[in-house]
Amino acid sequence: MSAVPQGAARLAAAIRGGELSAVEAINHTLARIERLNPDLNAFTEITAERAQEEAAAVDRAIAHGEIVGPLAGVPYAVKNLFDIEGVTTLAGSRINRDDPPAAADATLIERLKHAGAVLCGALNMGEYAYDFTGENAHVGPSRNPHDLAHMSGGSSGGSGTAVGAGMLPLALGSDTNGSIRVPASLCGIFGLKPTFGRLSRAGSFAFCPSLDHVGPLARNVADLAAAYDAIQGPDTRDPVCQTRLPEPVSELLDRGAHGLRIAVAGGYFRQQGTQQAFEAVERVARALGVQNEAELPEAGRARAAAYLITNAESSNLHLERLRERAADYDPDVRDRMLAGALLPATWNLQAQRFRRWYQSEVMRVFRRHDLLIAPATPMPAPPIGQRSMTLGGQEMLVRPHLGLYTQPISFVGLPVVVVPVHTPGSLPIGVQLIAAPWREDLALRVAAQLEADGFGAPSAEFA
Amino acid sequence: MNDQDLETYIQLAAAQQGLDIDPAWRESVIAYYRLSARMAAVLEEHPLPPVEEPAPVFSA
Repeated sequence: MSAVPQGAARLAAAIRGGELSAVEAINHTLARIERLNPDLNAFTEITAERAQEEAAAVDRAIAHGEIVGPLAGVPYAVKNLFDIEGVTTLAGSRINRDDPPAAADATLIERLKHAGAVLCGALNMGEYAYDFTGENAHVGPSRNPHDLAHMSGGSSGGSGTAVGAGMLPLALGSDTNGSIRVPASLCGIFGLKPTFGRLSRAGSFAFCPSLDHVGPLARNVADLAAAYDAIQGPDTRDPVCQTRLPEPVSELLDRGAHGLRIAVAGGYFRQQGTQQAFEAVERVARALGVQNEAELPEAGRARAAAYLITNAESSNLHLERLRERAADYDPDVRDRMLAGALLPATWNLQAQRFRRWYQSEVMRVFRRHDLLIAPATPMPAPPIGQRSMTLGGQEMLVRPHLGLYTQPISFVGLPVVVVPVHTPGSLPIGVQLIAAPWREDLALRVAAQLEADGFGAPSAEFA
Repeated sequence: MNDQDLETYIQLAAAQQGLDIDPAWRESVIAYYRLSARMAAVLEEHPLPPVEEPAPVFSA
């Protein structure tokens, strides 16, 4: 077998062109996963048999001269809160192990299969997605591919680890408050959290329905866009998914930042972070020639409101399990949800009312700007097991606070692409490119320009 | 609310919800409740006119 090309787009082209078969590519990927996973702990289930069947189907279609999808033969895996037919949907928990296997694939898995992609398994995550660290009390942490002693970030931790280590070119994750963007930042890869309601969440285990998003993670922008294009479209199985037709972006990427009004997010986004986070923003701003600043008003309160809504909604969703099986939860998740079940209802409603006010303020900012630049995380990956950190002179828990820059953005459903920034000898850190609702194309275009200017996913030392 | 009152509130509200909080978990639950209370206080400092209705998710 010839060398297997890196990256989804190149691999699919090689398979379509007959340079190698999809089965050869998948066997190579599965061998790599088997070799790396014991140390990285990215996968909780490797669906090798299914992967080989799906790859063989791609090869048969090519042999018969049929048109195959744009991701023909491309391996990917999903955070283990997505339903995989025949596999129990764990959502990072012990409790769900008692559930029957899923009867059908999640919508996004169906769509990736239709595009020719090949599912290789389910990925580790923080329990019930209530996490920014990638730690899991039941199966152990997914590890940072750049330093195994450090966090992957979460809650889509396995997704960050697997793509960051080059086990796979693509993964799916979910993002309620930052759970795609935090692991993308800490693992040094690209991640897309699309507009709220853009992508179907049907067949994924909910965490906080009024804030839950799903999206892809990848090692380059073309792959991120290709995956995004393949999974767009309305879906009546998700009540939040909008009836917009797909708006493909892959062909637009070479337009770059030309003509766009870009600013650095000021105020809240200039506080509390470490020097590395602010330097990463400066490097991106410099590369784009951006000098001006724009403020999202009351972003700190937006973050507080997102926290409260998450606490209240997730506790409501879990109330029965908390009554019956509280001792089987990860203690950090359990205690936070128990507290959330006892909040006065007015706190949650006030947060939802603030959400309305904040959204109109944010939209005012986007009348003057097309894109904002902000840190994705306040720091690069902390060591696994670190409980607290000091930011802006204040000591705080790591687990609820690693997403303090991501929460005010997802709170009003804005689309974001995380771009990795890497300094040799240091762990990577990501920067958020934030666009107005439904303008994923602008964030992806600017990400593509930055990638061409050298902002790429670093190779993992470990891999 | 002082510590004693908060502990009493947590105990009674948990009973009202049918939740059993093991004594070993109580300190951590209270700490997370305090964190949420701080977030709520931050929000309450920001007055909102009645026109700002809760942001709905449901759409018919």
